[in-house]
Amino acid sequence: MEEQFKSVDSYAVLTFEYKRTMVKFASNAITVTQRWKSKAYSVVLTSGDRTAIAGGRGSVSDALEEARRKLQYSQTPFPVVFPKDERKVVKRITNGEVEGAVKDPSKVVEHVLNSFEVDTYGTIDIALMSRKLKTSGGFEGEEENANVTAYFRAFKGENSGSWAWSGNSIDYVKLRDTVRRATRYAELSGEVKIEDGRYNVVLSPLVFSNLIGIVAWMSSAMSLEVGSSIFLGKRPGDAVASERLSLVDSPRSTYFGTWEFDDEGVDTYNKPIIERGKLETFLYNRALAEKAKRKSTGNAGWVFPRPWSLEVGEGDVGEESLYSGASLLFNNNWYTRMQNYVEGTFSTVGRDAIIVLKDGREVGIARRLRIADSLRNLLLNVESLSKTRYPIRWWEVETPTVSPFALVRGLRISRAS
Amino acid sequence: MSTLEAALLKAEKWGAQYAEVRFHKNFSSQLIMLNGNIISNEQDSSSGYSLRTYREGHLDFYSDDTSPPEPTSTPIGRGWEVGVDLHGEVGNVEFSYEGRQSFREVDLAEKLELLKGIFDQARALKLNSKLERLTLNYWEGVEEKEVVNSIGLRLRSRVGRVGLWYSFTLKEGDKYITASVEEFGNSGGFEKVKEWRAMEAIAERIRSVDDLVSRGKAPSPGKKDVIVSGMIAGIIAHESGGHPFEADRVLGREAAQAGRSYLNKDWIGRRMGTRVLNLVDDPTLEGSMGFYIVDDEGVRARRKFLIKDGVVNELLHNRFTASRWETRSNGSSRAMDYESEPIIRMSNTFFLPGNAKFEELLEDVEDGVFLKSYMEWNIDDTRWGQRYVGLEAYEVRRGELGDPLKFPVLESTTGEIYSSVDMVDDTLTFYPGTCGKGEPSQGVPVWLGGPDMRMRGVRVKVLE
Repeated sequence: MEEQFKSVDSYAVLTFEYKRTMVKFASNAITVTQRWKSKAYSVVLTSGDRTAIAGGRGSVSDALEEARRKLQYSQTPFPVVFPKDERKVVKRITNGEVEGAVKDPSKVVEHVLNSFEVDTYGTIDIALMSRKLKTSGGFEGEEENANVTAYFRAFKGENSGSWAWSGNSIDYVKLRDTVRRATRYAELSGEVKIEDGRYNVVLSPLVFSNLIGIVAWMSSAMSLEVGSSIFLGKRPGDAVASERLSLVDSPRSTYFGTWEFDDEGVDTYNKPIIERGKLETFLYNRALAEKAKRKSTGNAGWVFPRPWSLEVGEGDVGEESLYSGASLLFNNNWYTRMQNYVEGTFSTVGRDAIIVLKDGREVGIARRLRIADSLRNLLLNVESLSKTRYPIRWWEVETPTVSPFALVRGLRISRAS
Repeated sequence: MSTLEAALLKAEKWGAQYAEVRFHKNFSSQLIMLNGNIISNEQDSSSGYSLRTYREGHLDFYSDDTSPPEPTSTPIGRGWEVGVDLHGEVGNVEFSYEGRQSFREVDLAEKLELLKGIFDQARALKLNSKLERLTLNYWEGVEEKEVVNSIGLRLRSRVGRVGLWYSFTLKEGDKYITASVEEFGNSGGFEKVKEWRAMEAIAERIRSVDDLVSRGKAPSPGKKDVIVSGMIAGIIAHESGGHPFEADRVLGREAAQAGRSYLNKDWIGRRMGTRVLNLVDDPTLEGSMGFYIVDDEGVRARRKFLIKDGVVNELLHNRFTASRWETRSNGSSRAMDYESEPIIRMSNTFFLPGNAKFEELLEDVEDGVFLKSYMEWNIDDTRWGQRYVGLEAYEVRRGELGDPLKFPVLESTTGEIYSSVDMVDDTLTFYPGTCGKGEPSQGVPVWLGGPDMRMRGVRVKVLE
């Protein structure tokens, strides 16, 4: 393989290996047990202002040859660079229990099955991951991580509730609590019809994580370049959100696996994207940072800088204290679609329990509602956040996010009828 | 004996009542150009093996990138499956669909020139607003599979696919409008790119949105007649027609992820739409994104009439859902790559055209809306409540198309939409899509489409 690097200025090879077991449930039974053993790689070749990338699984050689062939046509305003950097970084977070459960998940599965109280569906996903980076600048990094993700959806008649949890170890109490919370939401009843209009809404951590995740991706400097960001035209220091809201890119999270270095070998660090309502920074790799005359934030992505994991700052009230100022609570959502990335207009569909609140109490369930507003309004109208935060990752929240419950004033609600 | 057959034999000796072993290779290449500059020139290649076994109610899936996996599972808890349909046409099957001009034969410079030409033409357009950004995303790929299973399947297939996705941002004053469009996609080779006439189509769409920005007016809300184009008919077909007809979803297998369905087995034979509604899923269309002739469980592909003359006709099945409902699989099982479990997927889902002309759809509409393209859509997890926000949209006044309208919203239910369609025209257009489902999520290539369709008296909303 070294031969194939000879005619280029610089290069890097990133490999990602994992062993992973996922068990899926439906109606309190196991639909499928999936096991993976895989090694993925990504290679970047650069020559002057040209950059070509090859990635995949299986054989590296063919793809490398193809990348070499492409290099002459790959002039770009954002060439990847690997300056001299001869650091060695090694970090291994081993977890014997997670490793054991990847091989034999029966104890975890039995615990989960015994936690089901009503008709329950869901997934438990247990993974060991390792990541290595070697650059022509001399950087060599290696790290290992463990990750456990679970979410459950409980049904009682036509009503449903869901909840999720994610962490870097197997926590039997949290798993049981996750099932219980989904079940509690499913047990709410009494339908109330809600008409289109603006409402004060409590967003659960599942919903807030989904929406704030889009905001975080919009803070990638490449999102600004391609015009898919509400931050177009904004600068650090500009007020973009309620003073109560802080959003941190958190690669050194204590909740999830940490990531020590980015895809260019730059050290990662926790950084606010929004702090007390003010835009703090965009997320950069080296090329985009140079264009902005700033430093890399350790978020490469060779092409597209990305958040690693996210934390929303905690609030100062109990979860149910948020109810007194609200008319609705959205337990979950899906299908968030943007109409206009720059203006930030979107809609997202309520899923599972949409709880109708009155005088701080749960008075029933509403159906077929969606939030149809803009991310700008959402950020500016965060009124209050709960003290307790939850580590969330599920089907609609791919970037692991620690989020509180959020009370947002005057969100536009729309109903399909 | 091949490596795959040896692995299959081991699985059968282990006690699998059904087993399949797959070698699956995907090669794809992608060029992203922003305002005439390359921002990404990437390729991705993956290849590896999977094994799926069914034993005593338990379904197990294994994948490994280096060699065919061997079964190791011991049953945990209660398995969800109740049986497997072991019927179906099997044997040696080999098919290849890579078109007339392979991607390798065409120099990368030619592809870049094509994208650059599109940008240059767009930049030269005389617009009222300013074209701030045009992003072009060209991709091509080849999917190769070998599958053996315990029913005697020996499948080899190769399918090429190519597509172009684009987005643009127009600015007028301090207001921006962004639009993302997935308009071109086929199975086959590079010759398809020339058939698209992408340059003209993209220029036309930019002009049309520019016209909307400069002179579009707000729609009035209320119950109206709405005509939707084949593009919007396609997304309706896929979201509210195709997904809820997936038998695994109907049974609840995907309830925690991709959701449930509004229908159940009892709906077979039940009217759910007007007589002009005919919805099919058809993998056999050559040149389509969802093209295949044998599915990943070794069942021959065929056109499925999901809704016939407004009546629920059949669901999409694999061998496991077919067994549960004592029917036969209709060949709807697909996996995205070697790390993915084959599950029930759509292929090319579309409403069939009728005999009317587009002008006839307009003829007796007094006060209506024509939705030509969309900028946002979504649907609830039972696939009943849905929403489509128009991008290019026009008023219809006294039987004629009028001024552009800014972002009318059709938010309705499947029941209301299907029972309000009173006429479809004689056109049929297809659009490419990537259909997501499964855990981990799998995106498989599909087409969605249909004719222009008219709905009577549905509620149109406006954005605040």
